[in-house]
Amino acid sequence: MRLLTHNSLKNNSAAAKGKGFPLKVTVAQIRVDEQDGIDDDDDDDTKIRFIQGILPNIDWPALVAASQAMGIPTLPPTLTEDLAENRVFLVALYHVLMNVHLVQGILTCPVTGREFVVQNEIPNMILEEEECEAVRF
Amino acid sequence: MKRKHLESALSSIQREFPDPKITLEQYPTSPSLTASVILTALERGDLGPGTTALDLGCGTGMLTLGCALIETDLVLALDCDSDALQLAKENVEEMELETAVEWIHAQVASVISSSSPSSSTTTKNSNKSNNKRRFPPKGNMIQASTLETRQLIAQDKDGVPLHSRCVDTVLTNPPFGTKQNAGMDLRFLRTACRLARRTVYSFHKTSTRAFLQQQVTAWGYSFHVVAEMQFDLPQVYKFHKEKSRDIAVDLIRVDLICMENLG
Repeated sequence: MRLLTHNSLKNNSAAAKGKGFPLKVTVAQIRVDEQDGIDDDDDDDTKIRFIQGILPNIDWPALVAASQAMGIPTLPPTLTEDLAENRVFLVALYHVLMNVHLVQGILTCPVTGREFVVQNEIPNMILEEEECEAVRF
Repeated sequence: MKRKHLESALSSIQREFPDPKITLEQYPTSPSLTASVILTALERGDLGPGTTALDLGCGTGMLTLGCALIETDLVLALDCDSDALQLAKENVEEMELETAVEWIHAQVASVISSSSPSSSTTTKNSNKSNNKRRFPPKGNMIQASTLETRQLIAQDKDGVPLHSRCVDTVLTNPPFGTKQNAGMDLRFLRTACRLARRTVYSFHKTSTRAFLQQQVTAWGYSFHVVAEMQFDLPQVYKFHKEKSRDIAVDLIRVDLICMENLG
């Protein structure tokens, strides 16, 4: 599970009442892809375009908290406009969002304490029937 | 990417479910069908570089792989069966593609399918009830149910643990809903419309077309049949009497961007 995915994951059980985000990360094992040499401009351009595209949808405080849990203490607490336009920063952000994987660990709902296990990089978010709200449609 | 190359790559993986589960309606999307959807979406800018996608109910990963092969920036793949998910993951990893693929073990939840409470009787009783919703004037019942459905969509009561509008495009080959699973295709479609920002591509029995069109249009989205095709459902389960069964299927595209203004 990458940090980018974690930023979209939430506990959607009825008990969480829509507030099951962000999930607290407890790490057992992570895997980091090697960062490419930052000399390749084309690669960088692609990464920067991608990051610029998704940046408006990123919950920054959730990302900072999760990245710290995954052993990356270096993200700034706020995302300033200057940073959002800084190429070096954006490439580094790409690395944080896309190259750090939670292999084994636990994701915990901040409201209900419900735990979701991550194994083999896959988060198990299956809810029991009782946890889902019966909805009239 | 040329269709031939795409189909050939898609044919090379282990796509058969090793032990298909009856209640989940598991069968692989064929390489040819997958290539059709993928290339159509690519042509319209819904997939490929510069986009993100989700395969809802990915099974052994055919649509996921299709997205990855055409260099979609990020592909999320979700399925409720951990065996299928594991096989899909292995399939994609074997290809050693650059594309980032994320796997999520989750389920589109069962939802009670019943008529909306916003009927004419409720409108009359609104003064008595504690219900804080404001019911629209009698003449606007259709509008009321659209709003309610929109709220349902927005409130993500479908069990899928993702934020709404978290990817550009959702692709899905949903269970068609037989026996205990009735209505599942609509639930998948509704969930897909919640999770996508831009478009949804989905397969549905042609016999349900009018109903789905009415539903999707009521939600305020545009519904378009991209292609009509024949699904050759193989004799997946031992109890199926025929060797295979041809059913007429629509590939539909829902455009989420041109939404009606309910004002």
